[in-house]
Amino acid sequence: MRTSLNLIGVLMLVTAVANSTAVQAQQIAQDANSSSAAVSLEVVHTSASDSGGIPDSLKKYGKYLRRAGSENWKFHSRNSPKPVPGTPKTVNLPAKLGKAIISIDAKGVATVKILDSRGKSLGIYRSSRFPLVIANQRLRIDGKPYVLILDRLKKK
Amino acid sequence: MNQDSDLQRFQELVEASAHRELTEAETAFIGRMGFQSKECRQWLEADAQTVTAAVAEDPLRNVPAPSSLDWARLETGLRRAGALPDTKSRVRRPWPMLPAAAAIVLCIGVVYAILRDGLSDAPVHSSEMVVEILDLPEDDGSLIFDGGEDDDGVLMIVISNG
Repeated sequence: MRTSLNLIGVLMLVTAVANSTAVQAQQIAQDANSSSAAVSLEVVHTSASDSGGIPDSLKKYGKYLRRAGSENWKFHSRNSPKPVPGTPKTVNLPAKLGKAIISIDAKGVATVKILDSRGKSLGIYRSSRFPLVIANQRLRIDGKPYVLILDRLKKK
Repeated sequence: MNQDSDLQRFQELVEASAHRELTEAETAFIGRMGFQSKECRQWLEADAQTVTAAVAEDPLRNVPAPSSLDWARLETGLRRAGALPDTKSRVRRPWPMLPAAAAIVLCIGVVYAILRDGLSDAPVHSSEMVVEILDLPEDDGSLIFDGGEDDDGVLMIVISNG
């Protein structure tokens, strides 16, 4: 009986020490990842068009684009900023619409602040879910709605 | 009843008082004879002196002290009877301190975890969802469409009335 109690005590002690060590190691690893590792994001610029449907490069966002108000969309450009948590990246919008300041925090929540060509804020958009599809009616290219898509690049 | 028989009964009752409780009649007889019979008093005094001398003699003093072998035999006998623990059983070690130390470590761990994560049972950082639009110009409204369970994405539409 006493031997069993001693054995249980040893197991509890070893488990507690191992658990605390593992938690500390995991915390250190998370801190290291969150503080130094850049997050790979992809910014896709697109605008509505009169015809042509949705090109293959935008197929994966088709559901969102159609909901944004048009069946036809045109691909403009793509950026791959790698913001480090705590350090935002600036991306210029096409057709001199303005710029987007993109940042991501340690929890993976992305923040997009869109400024028009005069530097006026058109809103701050925060999301922990991707893709983040932003359609602001103030932003138009040739009179057609412009949409900014922020997506997270999947690791290969 | 003659004096001899009284003395004999007196002696018997005094001897018997060492082994049993006397009745009231017997006690009264001893008391009465102690006052009335000189022989009984003399016998009682002589008996008391004999007892005192025997006690002063201390017969236990003549009993030799037990040797180590005697103590060993006594221990063996008590151990066989179950009054003492078996010598084959392990010597008590300071191991009982270990469960207490483990309990203290666990308590510290629990307190540390509560201080770090709070009392919520929800996984930390795993299910927190943030979808919001801030700092819109005046007169602008917003709509947010969730992608649903099949898709993690979100569509944010800002409608401008300006």
